[in-house]
Amino acid sequence: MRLPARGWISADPRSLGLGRIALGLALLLDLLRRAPELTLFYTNVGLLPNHTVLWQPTVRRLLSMFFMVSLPHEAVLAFVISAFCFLALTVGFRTRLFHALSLLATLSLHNRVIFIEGPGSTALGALCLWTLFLPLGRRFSVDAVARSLRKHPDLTAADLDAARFPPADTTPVASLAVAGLLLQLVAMLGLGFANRQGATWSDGTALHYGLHQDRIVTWLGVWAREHWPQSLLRAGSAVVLWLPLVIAVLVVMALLPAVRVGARRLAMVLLVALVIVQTSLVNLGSWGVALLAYVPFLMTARDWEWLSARARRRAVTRVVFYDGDCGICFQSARILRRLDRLGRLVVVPNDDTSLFPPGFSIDPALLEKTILVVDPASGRRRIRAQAFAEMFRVLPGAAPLAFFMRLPLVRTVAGRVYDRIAVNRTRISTWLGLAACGIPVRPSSPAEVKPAMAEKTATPTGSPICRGWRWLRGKKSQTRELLAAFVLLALGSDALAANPAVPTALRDLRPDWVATLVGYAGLQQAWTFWAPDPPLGDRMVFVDALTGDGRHVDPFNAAGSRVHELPVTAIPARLGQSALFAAYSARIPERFVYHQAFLEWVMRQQGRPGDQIVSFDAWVIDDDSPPPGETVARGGRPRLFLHHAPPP
Amino acid sequence: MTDSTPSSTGSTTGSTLRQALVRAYLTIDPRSLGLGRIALALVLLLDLARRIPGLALWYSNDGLLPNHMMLWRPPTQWMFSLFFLASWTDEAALGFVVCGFVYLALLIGWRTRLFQVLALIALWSLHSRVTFVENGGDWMLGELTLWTAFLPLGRRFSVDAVLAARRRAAPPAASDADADGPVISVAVLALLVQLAVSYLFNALHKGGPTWREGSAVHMVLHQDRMVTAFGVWMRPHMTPLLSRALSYGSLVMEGLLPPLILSPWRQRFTRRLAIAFMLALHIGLQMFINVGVFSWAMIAYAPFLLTPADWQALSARRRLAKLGGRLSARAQALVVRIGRACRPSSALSTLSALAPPAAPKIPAVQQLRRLLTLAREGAAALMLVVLLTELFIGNPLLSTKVRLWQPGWVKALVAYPRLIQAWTMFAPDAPTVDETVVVDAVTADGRHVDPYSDRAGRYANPGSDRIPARLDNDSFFFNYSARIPFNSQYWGALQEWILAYPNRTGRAEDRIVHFDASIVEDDSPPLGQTQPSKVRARVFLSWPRH
Repeated sequence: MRLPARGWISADPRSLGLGRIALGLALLLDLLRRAPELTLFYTNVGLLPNHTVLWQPTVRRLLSMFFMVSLPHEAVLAFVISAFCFLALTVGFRTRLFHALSLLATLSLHNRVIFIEGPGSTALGALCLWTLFLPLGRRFSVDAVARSLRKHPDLTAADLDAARFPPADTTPVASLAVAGLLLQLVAMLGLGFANRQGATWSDGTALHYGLHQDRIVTWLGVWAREHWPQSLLRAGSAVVLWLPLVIAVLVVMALLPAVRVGARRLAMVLLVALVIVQTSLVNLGSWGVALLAYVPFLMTARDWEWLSARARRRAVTRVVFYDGDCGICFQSARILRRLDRLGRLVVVPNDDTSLFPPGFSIDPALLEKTILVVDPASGRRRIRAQAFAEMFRVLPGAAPLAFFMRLPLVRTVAGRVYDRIAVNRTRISTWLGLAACGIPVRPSSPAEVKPAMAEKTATPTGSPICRGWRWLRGKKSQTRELLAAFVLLALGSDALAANPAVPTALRDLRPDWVATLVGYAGLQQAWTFWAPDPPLGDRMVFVDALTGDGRHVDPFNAAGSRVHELPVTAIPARLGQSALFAAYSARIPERFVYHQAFLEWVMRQQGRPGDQIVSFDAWVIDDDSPPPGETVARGGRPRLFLHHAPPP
Repeated sequence: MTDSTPSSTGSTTGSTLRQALVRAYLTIDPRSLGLGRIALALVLLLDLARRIPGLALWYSNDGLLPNHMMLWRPPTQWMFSLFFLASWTDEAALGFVVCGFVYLALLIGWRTRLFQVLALIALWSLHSRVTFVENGGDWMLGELTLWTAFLPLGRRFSVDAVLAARRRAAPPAASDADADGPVISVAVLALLVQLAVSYLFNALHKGGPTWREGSAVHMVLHQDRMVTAFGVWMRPHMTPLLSRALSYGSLVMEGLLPPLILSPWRQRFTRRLAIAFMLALHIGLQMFINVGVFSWAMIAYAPFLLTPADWQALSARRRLAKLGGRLSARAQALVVRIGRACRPSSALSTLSALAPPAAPKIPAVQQLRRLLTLAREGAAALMLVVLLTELFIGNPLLSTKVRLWQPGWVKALVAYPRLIQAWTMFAPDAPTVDETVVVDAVTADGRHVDPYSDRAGRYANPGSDRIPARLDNDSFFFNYSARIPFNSQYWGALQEWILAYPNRTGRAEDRIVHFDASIVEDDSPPLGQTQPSKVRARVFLSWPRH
């Protein structure tokens, strides 16, 4: 579908490509932060066994493949599969398929532990869902390179000439999903602001109270609360309160063509600033990386042109001499040519000196042995694996790979690998079915006929089911847009129902089935973090367990906190808990139906025979955070919420 | 698995022992695989269909085996089931629809390799969700699906075969034996061993008095949980002589089947006799008692015993050959029509366009294929070894004599795919005691109802003073009735289900204020008699608890 590429429904394919990489990396980071707590929260020897969550789910209907997982090795396998999906999405390999699988994996990861999830997982899941409707693999992807290789079967070295090379795909993508994605960002930030109507936000003490959440405060947050003057803390509160609103307004302002580019650029900068401020002071789980993953999708074509112009201003050129008779060398040159969108590489086969740039004098014997990369400005030459490192250095976005290849040990290994391949390149080329001249052997087949073309010539025959199927295939983009509109309506109505700031009259617009669908995906649109106020008190859970040899230990905090010493009379500063563990600590005392799992987990904690726990008391301490100007919490109230002792 | 043609395997007579063994135990005709695939898919569909009436009861949290309870106290440590994701009836129904689609695709042989794997996942999911009520039939069906997953079931009698033939521009005829060479795989041996050991140990374990005196069939007919209407009709006609003839007959057939299946000599004769015995044994069994999918699963193994000689004999029969040719032509025409209807265009007007293009022969790809084949054969061999070790665990005949230690990973390889090898059906004795479960529940308005029997069989409230004739339980219910009194960890779910009775009837007056769940047993009549004796009942669960 080609709609006018304007405002909210249009996106540049480069932004989508970069956004895909950001999304993939955010998903990988989200997975990585869960990995240390895999056993604790994803298996039946942990605190949230699958049977407990299925027995008393916090949301009536949920979808998570992780509900099948009971044992640690099963959870590890599921994590590895998820990581593979996220990695494939990041590099853009079979992008559509792995995007769908990544969505399933990330929703599964989040929904399995929805009891302790925060807004970050919803933001990340929603981004993954919205972008599913968009062609994220059109640029900067393995798919894009493969597509180009198929579409333009370069037959000779001359075909690799940059001037003859087809221009890069910059046709904008128009879809309702782009609007959905932007609205999602606006809802997260705007409703987050609107819900913060409490007194602490009005008087500017919210950040002060927020920094006294010892479960999630960072060391910088502790330093700030102890050393920053009240005026600075008030200014910080104002920034945390108003910045989201400003960003949301800037994103909305993109509707106005005159200010679109500027508004988007400012929104991106402010979004990054907001993330830096928030994540440096408190640990909010994946909220920070989720917000950062939205940033590339705000980039416009003008941004890319600006970046491209800046990059081209650096007149960097490398001349690459490769073995023109070697199949894999020619294929490598084809791929490099496609990665080199700035035209920084001049690829030259060694078998035709007439193609050599003027002024180059190369020993033919050297070119028989190795690839050669020459910097025409300095005359510096690089061979073997370091030639590849040099090419990666000048290719857009590949500099980290070049850095990696130049690390001491990697450099040696890469050199050896290159030598092995170079010596056997003819054999490898034949083995891979590449002719000696490097031209790929690919017969054309009827299956490669474009479906769109086939559908145009279709005759209205067949059963009604077949006709319906054909019709649907013909209307693929329309169907996709309809689905995007449906998701927009569903999440929109859920946002109206779930946020206290929305007028009451609008809250009843959400049908029950919408709540069910949103619940399945775990994408509830309640943006109420620190709303209406941040907690005015802090909380900590600790366990006083008696071991077989008479010692008192705290296995709970030993598993997830920086501090686990007994006795506990007050909440220690900066417990250093992960976001998941912090949420569990905050919620478990009142979640009676999960206490049995908690009890069983505590009783399982033992190392040596003497460590076996014979009885325990589980306590929660609530205190009042210090008023502004003070630093010591008051009124610690310990409360026993679970007691276990062997029967007399 | 490798394909062998006469030219590649050398002499067809097979001069060496190795060749003879390969031919006897590792080789199978692709037509047998094709027919076997159809049989397997039909039984899978039957298995799915018989679970539909109990979908809410066994696969949702409104039933007797909620997912959280099965995960909390799993019958086995290692389980894989996608149905653990389903808590609600509509979610389970969606899962059933997906399973049905997978089985149908396997039936017609469309993208057979893919759907073989998906069928295996579907079957594991369906069975492992309700391991508490599974029986030997479920195991046999799962094992058939597992072993055949290593074999190319789509080479004949399939949409894939039609497409492949069109691509080669050489349409196969049903009678054309040389259109495709025989298939050689370790999985063929595994399939034969699987079938043989199930009969062997079932026969060897039957050493109890009822089998020795020949009253076993008579006793089985007095299992009111599972007896069929025909079985009830047969009871008065079951003279001691007839019972002995049927009992000994079935024992002899079971005992003879392993050598017939595994015989390396005169396979044409032995395999045909084995098929005849299997049909007789299982059709007979199915007529008398309902044992779930057991009989049909065993019969589904039969096509895999067909030898090339059988196919040649069939094609030599003109009428059959004609019928086969006609059916094949019609199937091809149907595939062409469907293909044209769904993907019509000038470019795709020929059927060959529906098939994937023939890939050029790239050494790397060929090597990778060889590696994959090797890996598949290795996996089949590993699973065969696992099967053999499991025989020493699940069968008292071996486990009492040889104490074999199984490492954890082997146990997992047995449990995940349900490769259980405990073959003790009606062994060492046919049951001499009949049993059932009844619930005496008192409603708010003082009536006595039995929510359990009302749902389980054809008697709404049979009471605990007798076991009525032919309860007509399905295999899930009679397994549940036999096991629930002794598994207190699942009583909570039974209690909740009974108390939810008014939700199911929709009448508030059906609210239950008290119930007793009892196991009712009686002694089956001795040979020559027809009336059971010594009826006794024992309450195993009461609510409210005193």
